[in-house]
Amino acid sequence: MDEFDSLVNLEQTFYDEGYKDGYAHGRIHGLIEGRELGREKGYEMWEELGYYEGFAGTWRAMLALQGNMDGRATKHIDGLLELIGQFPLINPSVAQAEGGQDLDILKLLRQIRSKHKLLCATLGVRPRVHSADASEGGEEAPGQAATPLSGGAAKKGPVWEVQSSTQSEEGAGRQREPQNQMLSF
Amino acid sequence: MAAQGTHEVQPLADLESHSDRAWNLAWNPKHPLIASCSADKTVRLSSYASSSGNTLAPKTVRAVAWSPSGKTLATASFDSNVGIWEQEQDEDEDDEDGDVDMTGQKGLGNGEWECIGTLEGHETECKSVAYSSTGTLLASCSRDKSVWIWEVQPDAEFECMGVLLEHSQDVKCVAWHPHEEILASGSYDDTIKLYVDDPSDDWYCFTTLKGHESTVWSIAWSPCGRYLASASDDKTVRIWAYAAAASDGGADSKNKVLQVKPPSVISSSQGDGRWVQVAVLDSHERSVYSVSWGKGNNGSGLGWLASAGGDGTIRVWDVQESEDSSIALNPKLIASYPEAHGVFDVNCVSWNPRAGMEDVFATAADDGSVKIWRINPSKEAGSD
Repeated sequence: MDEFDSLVNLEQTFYDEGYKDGYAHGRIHGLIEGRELGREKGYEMWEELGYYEGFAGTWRAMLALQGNMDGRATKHIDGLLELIGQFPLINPSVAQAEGGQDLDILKLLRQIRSKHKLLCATLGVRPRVHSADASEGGEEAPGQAATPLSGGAAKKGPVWEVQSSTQSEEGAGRQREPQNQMLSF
Repeated sequence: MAAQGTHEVQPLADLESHSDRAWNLAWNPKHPLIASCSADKTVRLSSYASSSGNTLAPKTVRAVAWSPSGKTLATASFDSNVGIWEQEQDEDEDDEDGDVDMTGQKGLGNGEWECIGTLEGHETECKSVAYSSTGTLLASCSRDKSVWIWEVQPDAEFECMGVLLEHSQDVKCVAWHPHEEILASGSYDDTIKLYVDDPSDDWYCFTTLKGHESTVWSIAWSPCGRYLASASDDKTVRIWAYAAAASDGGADSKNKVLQVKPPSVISSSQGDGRWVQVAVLDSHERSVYSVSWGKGNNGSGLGWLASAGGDGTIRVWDVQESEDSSIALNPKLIASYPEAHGVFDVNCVSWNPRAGMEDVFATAADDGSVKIWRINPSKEAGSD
C-alpha cells in the first residue's frame, strides 16, 4: 500500500509543508521583533541605570573633594555602584541560562532604585523622577533645602555656585528647572 | 446578637473635634492626650485630664503617631511629607499649667506645638506613620508604593535607613512589632509584608502574607508580639502567626505539631517556620478600616481586638489561645456597638495604651468626631 500513501495523504503533506514554511518564517520575524523589544527595554533600563551610576560617581568625587569620605553617604554610594555593577550588560549565553544562573533583573532594578532614593535622602537632594513624562526634576542644593535632612554635606551650604544658567551642574542629571523653584502646596 | 455579648460598650465622650472627616487618632502613651487628624487640615490635641485642647495646622494629615516617650508627634501628610512636632518648652514649667495625672507624672503643660522637622522623600500622599517600640525608628508609607524607615537622632535629626519598594501598589499602613525591630506593612495589593534589618545594614522584606482578597487597610500586632491582626476591604479581619515545628518530638515528621513562636529578628532571617493564618473573622458587613489590639483587662488571654469600618459598627473580640494544641484561634465577640457614629464610616479605632485604662478606646469617623468608649462587663452576664 505504500505507493498509495502519498496520494491518500496529499492534503496532509501539503499542510505539513505549509506549516513548516510558516513556522520558519514566523521564527525569523519573531526573532527580529524580540531583538527590537530587547533593545528598547534594555535601552530604557540602562538609561536609568546610567543616570544612577553617573549620579553616584559624581557625588563620590565631590565628597572626596570635601574630605567627607567616611560618612553614610559614601557607604550608600558604594552599595549603589556595586548593585549597578551586578546588572548585566549583555545577554546571558545559553549555557549560562541553563546552568541555573538566574539573576532576577526586576528585583535588582527595584533594589537599585531603593538605594538611589536612600542615597538622595542622605545627601539631601531630590531624586529626578524617572518616567517618560517627567516634568519636574530639579535638584535643590543642600543647605538651601528648608528641611534638616541629615548627612554631612547637607549642612555646609551649597556645594557649588548656583546660577540660572544650565551649565552649573555636570553629570548630575539634566536639570530642567531653575534652581529656586520650590514646589508649593 | 449585638446586645448579647458578655460585655457592653459604654460611650464616654464625644469630642467636638473636626469639621470634616476625621482620619486617624493616637493616644499619647504617657500623658492624657489624644491627637486626631482630619481632612479639615488640622490636627487636634485633646486632653482628657483638663479641658484644654490644642490645634496644629499642617496640611491635611492622614495619620498621626506618638513616640513612646509621648513627647513627639509624627504626622503623615497628604503633601507627601512626614511632620515632626514637639511642644515648645514653657519658660515657667513649674506653675499650675502642667497637669499632674494619677501616676504623678508631670503633664505636658500648655505650650504651643510646633513643627520641628519635616521628612521629605515620598513622592505622593503619605498614608501612615509609626514609631518602633524603642522610639529609635520611624516608618512611613505612601501611595508611591514605598515604605521608608528613618532613624531618630538627637536634635530632631532623622537619617534615612531604608527605602523599601516591595509592594506593587499603594501602601496603606505600617506597624512595628511591640518588642522587636520588625516592621509590617499592608497594601492595596492585598498583601502584608514583613521587613527586618539585615546586619549588613540593609532592610529587606523577609516574608509576604497573602490571603486577603482585597486591600489591607490596617494592621495591629498583639501585645505579646506573637500575632498580627489585619483588617481588609474584603470585610474580614485575619490573624496571622509565625509557626514552626515544635522543638520536642523531633524525628517524627508525620506528626509535626505546629507551634506558634514569637517572631524575632533572628528567626525572621533564617527560621524554618512559616507565617500562617490562624483566624478569620468575617462579621463585618462592609470593609474594615481599622483594627487595634489592646491588652484588655481580663487578666488572661491575648487581649482584646477592636475592629471598625464601613458598616459603622464597633466590634470587640476576646482572643485566647486554644486549649488543645492547635494553633488556630477562635476569638469571641464580646461586645459590639452598631452605628457608633451614626451613618458614617468609622476610619480608626484605637485602644488606650496607658496602664489602668485598658478598657478604654476611641474611634474617629467621617462625621469629623472622635468618640471615647469603655468596655464594661455586661450586667446580664454571669460572674466574670
